[in-house]
Amino acid sequence: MLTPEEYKRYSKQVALPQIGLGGQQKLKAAKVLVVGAGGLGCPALLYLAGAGIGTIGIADGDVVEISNLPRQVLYGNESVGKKKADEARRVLASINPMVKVVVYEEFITAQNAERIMQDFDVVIDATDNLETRYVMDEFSVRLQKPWIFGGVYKYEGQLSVFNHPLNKGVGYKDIYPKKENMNTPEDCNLAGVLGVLPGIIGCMQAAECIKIILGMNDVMSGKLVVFNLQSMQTQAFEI
Amino acid sequence: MQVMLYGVLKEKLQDEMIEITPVVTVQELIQILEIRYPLLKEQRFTIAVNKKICTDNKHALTEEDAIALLPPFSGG
Repeated sequence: MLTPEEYKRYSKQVALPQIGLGGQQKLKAAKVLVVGAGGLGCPALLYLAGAGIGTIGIADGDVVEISNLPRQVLYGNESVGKKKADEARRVLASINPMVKVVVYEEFITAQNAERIMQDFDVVIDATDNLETRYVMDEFSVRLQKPWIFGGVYKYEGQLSVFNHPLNKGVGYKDIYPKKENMNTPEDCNLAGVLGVLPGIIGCMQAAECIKIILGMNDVMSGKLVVFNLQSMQTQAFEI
Repeated sequence: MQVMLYGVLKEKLQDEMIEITPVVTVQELIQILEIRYPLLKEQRFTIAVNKKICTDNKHALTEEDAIALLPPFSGG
């Protein structure tokens, strides 16, 4: 049940026919893990907290640097040098104190993935490297959870929903099989990035997460979405 | 045949789209591309044919097929 305060807070999205009171209760009962509280994670976290996801996990072992601020919009000057996960929790508590935030001040690895991921219903990949994505790919199948991939390169972004009940077992490995001795794509620190791009992709990931929790059928499962910030074109490739 | 490029491949091949002589399989496509652009051998990418990701190198191609080379984007 929603409290009168919750009803008031979420009234605009409750008004949507596909959400309603039942949908809002699903969001309240949901547990979402966001792996990485950087360029993708910050916007995703903002909108998930705003939407009233009941429990949000944040896994990130990094500290805020001043060069993060243009795209990692949860943080301000006072955050520099502090743990991202802690700072994110502090800001989210102010945005929506009704959301329970669980913090893991560590990076996801094959050693801790099961312990951290097992308590959540949906996992959002907001990391900046391929290795962690292969770990999440493996453990999402093992733990039977959908995960939402997002990645950016300069002015382009990718998004997909993996291991969704509609396409069980379909994962990142089905697009990019794990190979040794291949060039690793550059991350944002090396390649450069305009903050709005991870902002857009992170928001798309939050939207997919909400659609999954609400049981909507038109999630981007079985598709690789490619977005170009310069042309504003979005293309979907079937997996 | 037209091959659309994405991400880092646009920079490496210095174009958004390249024209190649028609090939009949994905395997032949890769061979032709690697001869013309040896640096592709070191690049990680997946191939889409008519907006469908194709991991089968024996997949048959026709001149009308729209090819896309999609590298992974790992920033975040």
